[in-house]
Amino acid sequence: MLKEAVHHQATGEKNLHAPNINWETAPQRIKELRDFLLDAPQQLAPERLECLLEVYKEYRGEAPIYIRAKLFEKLLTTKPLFLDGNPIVGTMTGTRAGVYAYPEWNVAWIRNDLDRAMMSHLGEVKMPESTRKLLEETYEFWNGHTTIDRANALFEELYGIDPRPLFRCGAMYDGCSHSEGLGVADYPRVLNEGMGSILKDVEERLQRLLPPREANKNKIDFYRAAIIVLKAAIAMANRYADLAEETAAKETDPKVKAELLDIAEVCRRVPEHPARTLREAMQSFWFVHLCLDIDQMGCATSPGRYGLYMDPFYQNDLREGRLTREQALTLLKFQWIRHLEVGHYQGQDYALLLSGHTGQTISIGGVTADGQDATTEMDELLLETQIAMKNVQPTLSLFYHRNMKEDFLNKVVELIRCGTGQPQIMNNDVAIARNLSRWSENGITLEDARNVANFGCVATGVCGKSTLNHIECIWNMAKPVELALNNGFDPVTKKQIGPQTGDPESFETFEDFYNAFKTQMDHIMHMNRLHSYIGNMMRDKVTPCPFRSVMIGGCIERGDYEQANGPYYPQSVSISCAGIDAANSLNALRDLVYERKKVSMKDLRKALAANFEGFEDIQKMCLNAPKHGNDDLKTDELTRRMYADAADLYDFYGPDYAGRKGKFDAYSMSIHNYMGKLTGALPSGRKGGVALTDGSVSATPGTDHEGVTALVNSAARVIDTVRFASNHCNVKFHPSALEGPDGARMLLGIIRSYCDMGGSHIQFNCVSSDTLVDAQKHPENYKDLVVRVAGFSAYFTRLDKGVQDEIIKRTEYKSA
Amino acid sequence: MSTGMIYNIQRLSTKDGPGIRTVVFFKGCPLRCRWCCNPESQRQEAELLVFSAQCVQCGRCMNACPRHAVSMPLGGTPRLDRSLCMACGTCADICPVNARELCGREMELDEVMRVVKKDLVYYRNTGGGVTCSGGEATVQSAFLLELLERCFYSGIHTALETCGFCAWETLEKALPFLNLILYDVKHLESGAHLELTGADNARILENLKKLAARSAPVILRMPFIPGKNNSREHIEQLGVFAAEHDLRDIHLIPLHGLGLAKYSALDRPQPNDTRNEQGLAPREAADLLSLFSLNISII
Repeated sequence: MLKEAVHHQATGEKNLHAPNINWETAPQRIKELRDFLLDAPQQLAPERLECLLEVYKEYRGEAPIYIRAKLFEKLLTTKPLFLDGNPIVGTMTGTRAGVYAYPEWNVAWIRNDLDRAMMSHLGEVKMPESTRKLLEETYEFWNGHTTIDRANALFEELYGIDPRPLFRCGAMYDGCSHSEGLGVADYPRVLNEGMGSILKDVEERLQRLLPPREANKNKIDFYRAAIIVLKAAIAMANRYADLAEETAAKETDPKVKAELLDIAEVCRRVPEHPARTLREAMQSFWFVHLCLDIDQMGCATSPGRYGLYMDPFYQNDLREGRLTREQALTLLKFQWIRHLEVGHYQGQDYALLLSGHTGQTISIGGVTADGQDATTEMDELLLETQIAMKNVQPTLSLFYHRNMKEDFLNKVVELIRCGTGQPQIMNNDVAIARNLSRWSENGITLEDARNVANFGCVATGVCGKSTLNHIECIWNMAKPVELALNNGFDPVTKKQIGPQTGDPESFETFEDFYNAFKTQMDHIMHMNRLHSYIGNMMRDKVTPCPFRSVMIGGCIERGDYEQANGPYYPQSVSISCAGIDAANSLNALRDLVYERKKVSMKDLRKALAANFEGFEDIQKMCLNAPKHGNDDLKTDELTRRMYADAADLYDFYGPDYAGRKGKFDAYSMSIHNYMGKLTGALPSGRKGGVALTDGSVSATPGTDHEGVTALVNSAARVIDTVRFASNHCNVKFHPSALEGPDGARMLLGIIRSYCDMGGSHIQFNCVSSDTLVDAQKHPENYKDLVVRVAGFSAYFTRLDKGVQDEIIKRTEYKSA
Repeated sequence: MSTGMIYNIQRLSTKDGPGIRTVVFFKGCPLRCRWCCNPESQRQEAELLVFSAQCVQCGRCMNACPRHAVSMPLGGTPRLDRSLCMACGTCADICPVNARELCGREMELDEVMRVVKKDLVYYRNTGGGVTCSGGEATVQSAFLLELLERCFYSGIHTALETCGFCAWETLEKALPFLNLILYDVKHLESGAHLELTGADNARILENLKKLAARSAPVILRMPFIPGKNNSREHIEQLGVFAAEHDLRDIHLIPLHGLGLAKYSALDRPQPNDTRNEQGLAPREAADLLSLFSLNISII
């Protein structure tokens, strides 16, 4: 067991000392580092682009996995390093608050977006002139060769269809034009074994495959790449040790000097060797995490069950008197700064889709391999750190189960009351059942199924053994409604997008309409899946990830990298958004056109075409029609039917790129805002162009009028959360509703009940609308105001205005 | 099946008994408290509320009314002749801006239970349940008893919020099916009580003493009316009474607003607000009461 292994290692060492950290100046440093990140614009750093151009020329003809290992090596061994007063060292870029671009996936934005404001998770991104020139060069080199360019070309070659109109009209968003986060790496392996030991393992495996034979050619390339990236990561740590020693030599303040030498000592030790103390474990963790992001930065490289694998180090330090609880909290705050700093820029569309979210979700709670409550003291420290820091990154996610202790849950409520929307709540039982069902054909063990954590927003998977390696297209469930209402013609882009399902005015029953809707859905799902296969093939061929592969269980053992079929439990992600807009529209059509016959299809279509302008009466009827979130069985059953039909269609088109059974997913990130801009007026009463509904079981803002319990009942009802890869529910509370012990009990009662009813994900925004409106008017006063958008938190003032307005409109519950 | 005149069913209530509760509001009340903020709860028959400030003068209500009870002067807001109105709700259904609202509906027991049972999981997880409130629930005693019995046998925690102005038999019959009684006492002196509520308090106190004698699960509640029942003397009197009858749990409920808009929505004169700043603050009253070894909460 993990705990025992750590204990033996740690107690076996004689000369471990307390960290030489200048604790007195630490609070001030934490504040300055955080303020700097919140105030300074981010920089699009040039060095990754330079390395990219050089390496691809130098190693032309090599296997892509090898070239990409060389890119990783070049970057880690040559990028400028600096120390900034944070004892946990390691920044992504050579400049403070720097972000990288990932043009191998997509370069279109370099031509289209550079003259517009560039936004990332911390707000605006600036670009030095040198970077701009490099981007131009990068564009010339990569245009036509990126994953998305090659995927679109191959799609046309194989199927004779240009897929781009489907993307432009907001029916779907491709899955391969952006780099993507990983899921949860096997951090404990590095902490407990050291990268040196992993390196030795890989070297031995490579030797056994020699001399090269055809059957082993891919394995040999992967192991060569693995050796390069492991050595590069160790080399970067040693470069930091060198830098700290050089800086210490010039330092006169003995306390500062001591801390620099401490940094040097730690960086010589980890990640090459096993960590022995919490200090070493945190630095080792950070090097792994940073390297994963450098390899491929995207949403959802998540630390997983940090409390579970860190707590043994912490307990050891406490027991042996090396560290106090307070000091551990200080170190965590320093680590928090590091998480906040990493970022990426991949064009305006992608920025809108994700609000720059980086998805570094830490999962707390859950159960151990043998089913006991896994909550640790480190989990408590994580809650306390977030209460103090109120960061957008990392975010915390609670894996709730029945056996959690009440005092721990009260601390959870304390954090929810801070208004950052954290932690989000996940239903541990559902997540485990989902793991078991997802990989039932792969022989998943119960122990692995229980080792579940969030992969980014609301997706779940097995820590260290599964990854988000196959990204499928995202699709907009409201679009098929629009298409069915227009015989397959898209009124926004004025193109025939879907099949001709008939003139809706000729439909006699609601079932006629529903069938047309389903046919449109089928078409989009079909195109979506086809493009997804090709997109994932291109991720495999063009942008495989050597370092991530080394950090995921299965890849080394099978000799295959992540984007091929390396991980023990390969996982695909197929996101749908705007399900509730579609469901509300279907409910409105059934009620108004077919059952109560309050409006004819002809008049409704006229009103929709006019975006309800001049048809306010019809819009009011539409708004008053049955809506999701009011605990109305008839309404909810139609919604559930629609979701189940979508999942059936997903299954109908077969296993994913890896040949495994996929799971259909339903959550929004901020896709609902992006897709909203491309979706016209809907029978739900929503006007064209405004944000669609967040989450997948949240109510459309302002349409849930029966109270929180009604919303939560509907939310738990409409999606089969084990069959689906997630559900996603946002609830907004006025801060007054959660005050005092009664407020805490009420909130915990809602959480328990939601989980009892099989809900999977729920999160609470606890900021009053008044505050948000004021923050829109005076952003300068609210630079650290964090709100929950959808599966993730973000700084309110840096969000797109469409998302801001949507959050303000969400129904706000006060206690009765 | 018997029916009850219900004017609201409020889910996720946390202030009317333990846990997450559903409050069933019965229409009709024997008292006319001067500070009543729910005047629509006083009469037992259905009534129409008209919020003129929201009216856009479209005239739809006038055209829709089957009794021609709505007239509309040129360029003015519609007027309702309440002697003709039978509170059918047709105008409220058609109003495009929700300026008209029907208050009170005869509901069958099954219908009430359907709503109540929607939140069973929450009751179980928080020790919550159903609270019968009003108006005054004991006015519709037959329906109240049926509802309490059904809830009791469905495993739902039950509470009754009452002013105590009812026949003892009603409380006695309800008692086996009640987990909690939230018992309002407005004033202990009969003269003051009559002035404040329009009724004498003798029966109220008598019923309360009988409940106390049977050790019924009672929380004594006093709406906190500044200048009316918060004098040092009255609070002390309350402390003595509670201690004497072993009513250990006291809730003080400071008044919020007067719901004045609802009086005009019902075309009723607004109550003469004679509250003043005299007397103890709620916190001071609570401190004073705790000297009698009572558990005080300010709600």
